[in-house]
Amino acid sequence: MNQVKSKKEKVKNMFRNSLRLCAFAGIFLSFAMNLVAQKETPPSGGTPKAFVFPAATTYSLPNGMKVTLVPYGSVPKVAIQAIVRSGALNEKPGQAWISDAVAQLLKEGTTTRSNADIARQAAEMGGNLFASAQTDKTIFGGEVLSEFDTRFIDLLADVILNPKFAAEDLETIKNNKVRDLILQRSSAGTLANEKFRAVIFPDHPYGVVNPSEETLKSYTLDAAKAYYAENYAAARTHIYVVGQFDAAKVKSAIAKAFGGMKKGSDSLRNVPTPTANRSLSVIDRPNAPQSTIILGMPSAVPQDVDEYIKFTVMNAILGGSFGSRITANIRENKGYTYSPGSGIFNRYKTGIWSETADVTTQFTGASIKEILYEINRMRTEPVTDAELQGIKNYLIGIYVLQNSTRGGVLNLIEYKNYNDLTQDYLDSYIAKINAVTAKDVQDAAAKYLTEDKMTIVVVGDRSKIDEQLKPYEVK
Amino acid sequence: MEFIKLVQSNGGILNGSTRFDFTNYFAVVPSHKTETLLWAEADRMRGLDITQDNLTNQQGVVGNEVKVNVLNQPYGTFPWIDLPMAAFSNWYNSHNFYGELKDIEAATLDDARDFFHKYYTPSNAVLVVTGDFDEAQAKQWIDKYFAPIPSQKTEPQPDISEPRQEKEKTVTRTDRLAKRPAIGFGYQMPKRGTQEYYAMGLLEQILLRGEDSRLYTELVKNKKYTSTVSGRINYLGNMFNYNGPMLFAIDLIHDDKFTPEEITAAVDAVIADIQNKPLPQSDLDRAMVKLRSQFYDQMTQLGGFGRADLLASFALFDDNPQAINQIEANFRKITPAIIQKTAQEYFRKTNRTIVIVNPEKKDNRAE
Repeated sequence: MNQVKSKKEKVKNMFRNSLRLCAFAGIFLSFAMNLVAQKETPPSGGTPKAFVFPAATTYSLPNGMKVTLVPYGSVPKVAIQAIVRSGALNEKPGQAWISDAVAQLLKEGTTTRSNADIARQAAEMGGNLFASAQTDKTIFGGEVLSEFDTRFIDLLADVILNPKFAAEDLETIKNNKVRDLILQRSSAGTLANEKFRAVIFPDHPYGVVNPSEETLKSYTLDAAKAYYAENYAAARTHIYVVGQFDAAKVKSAIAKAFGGMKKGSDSLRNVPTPTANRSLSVIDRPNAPQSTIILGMPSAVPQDVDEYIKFTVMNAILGGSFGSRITANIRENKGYTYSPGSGIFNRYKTGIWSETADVTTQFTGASIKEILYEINRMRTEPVTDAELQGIKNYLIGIYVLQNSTRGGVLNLIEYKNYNDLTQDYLDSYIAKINAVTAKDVQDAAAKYLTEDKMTIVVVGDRSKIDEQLKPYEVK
Repeated sequence: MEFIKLVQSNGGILNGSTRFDFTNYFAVVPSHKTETLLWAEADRMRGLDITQDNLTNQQGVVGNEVKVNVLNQPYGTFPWIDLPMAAFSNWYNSHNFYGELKDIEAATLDDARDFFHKYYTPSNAVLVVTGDFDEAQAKQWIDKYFAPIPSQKTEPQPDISEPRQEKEKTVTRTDRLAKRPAIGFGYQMPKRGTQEYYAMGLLEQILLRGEDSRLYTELVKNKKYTSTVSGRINYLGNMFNYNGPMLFAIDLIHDDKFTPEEITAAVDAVIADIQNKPLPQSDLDRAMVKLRSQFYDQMTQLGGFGRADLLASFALFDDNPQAINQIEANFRKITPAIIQKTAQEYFRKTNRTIVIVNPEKKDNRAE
């Protein structure tokens, strides 16, 4: 057997654990194609098949709770989620993270089921029950085998409506969060994101990604119960059922299980005023082989549907796809980075565009220079027809793919509802993408992506990058 | 970049990866672009044309990948590289397969071309097409674009077998960026396709999957060592898409007031329970339900990639893609007695490797 210790290998690219959907960067191939040398044209293929958004039925219970049912798919599973409009947005000052603590507390047990009971029963249905607290909503749900549709609804209702609220569970949740925070804050990406959000959303819950250890340790069971009483309400809750299920039985089960939930107060809106000034923040990470850069500013918002779609197309060309301008520049052309990408943080009447990249330390300044160069090019030159058509096809393809899973369908309908958009938005999305022009794209960049509004955050080895960042300081 | 643009501009997604036993390239495209993609894949297989510039650029890219995933990331190589490196004794299984930076930087154009000619041969590959397409038409296109690719001799596979492990191994290292200790356990898997192999798949459900799992219950809920227990058969995929020595792995990051000895003792207790007490039929039934549900998810993963990936694995390793239809039946043959016997053999301490990661001791370490 030939065992050469320092065997040289072909340059290879690797996956960890699971695959990442390469909608926005993060993909890699190890060698270039032969296309140019042969000068052959690929076969152009046929004509696209029509796409129709899955049909949904929505109704309300007498207590104001909404229900949406979407028969979907050929696999005998069903996704069921109860989405409560409770989150960071509802937290009072000094209460950061309490909405998350409450969500986890509900999972810890009900008046008749222990946490172990909940886990075992969900597993017996082929799924698990998760609770996920976000800025504006908390989701309780899971995906189970279809034959257990009504059984899961009963479990879900019990968890949401009959929490045990045990003091020792709250202590455990707090200790877990302390541990998780220490872990997260050892990662450059977390530090950069925390800082970016704090700068972009001062004086608003969106600006506080993580609570301080002191704050989270201060929460009592009474505070948690008070938060629950005030924010968990039928008027703020929407149940989604997507997949294969017995509609009549499911309707009946929902009415029975959730009919008694108190109506409560309506959902809250709290639109932030994001920062639109130039700033540079640098966090030291001694000996870091890479700098983590986040660069961004306010963008179009989802409620301006046409404007937002044009901005979406612009973003995809600029940095939001693997073949995008910034990626082609700093990854393919210069090799500064592995997985850069841009995206839009969006909420109700809120949009923040940002580009994120982990770049080799010695090329930190150069990377920012190239990103700014590409942004400026987007603002001053129209994109080519080929580029535009290509990105439209890509975005349409992604939309169709999102509609090929229960979760994807559920998320799109929920996005429409959260943003107060209409069914027409979902049905006409593809047509609207197709209607975007090169001028629309250029206008979108010119209007929003100006350097005077730019927030830049860099986490890296200051002894090596301070000099490189001098041109980007605010004078 | 041409290939990427071709797929994306036609409304598709794509990716590629190198795993333990194969490299894959896949794309999910609208069905009316089937011919386009078949043409492009055949073109990829036909020839490699890279320049020194391409190579230098990709070395930079991969170098950055190693940095972002490993060198600038707390825990980095733990557990997915650390465990096989410690557990295996055959160099092919025990070297740093992600790549040492200096090796990546030293790769030459000849190395790349040489490797391509040795392994990227038609007879060493499978093509899978699944989804919404016309089979007869696709076969015509496949014949048109792939058949003319000349056959080449494939470099024979090296011997990657591992001897039976007879002694427990323990490896400890310090991590500059980690703030909390971590511990990982790797047990050598039985041969793929055997009854014991399917039993280990069910044991993965019983021990690791879901909050009803035994290790979660003991380590998270009862002992509160951690808030998450991780682990799997095959960190680079699932229990079906590998074809060589493999570990059943368990890993967790834990509070530093707990020692590796007490965590190991707790894991031992859970395993001893499985080894010494007959498994209740209800536990086995639940494991089977979880496994079936997870299997359905795998089939629909990423626009159908999951199913294509399994078909490709069975075709490539066993020349038997039909095996995908036997999976559920093979699991149903496993009885509580088989599970117990498998656990006694494969979860023995002498079949195990432990990797311990400690944070650096610093006075001003942030808490």
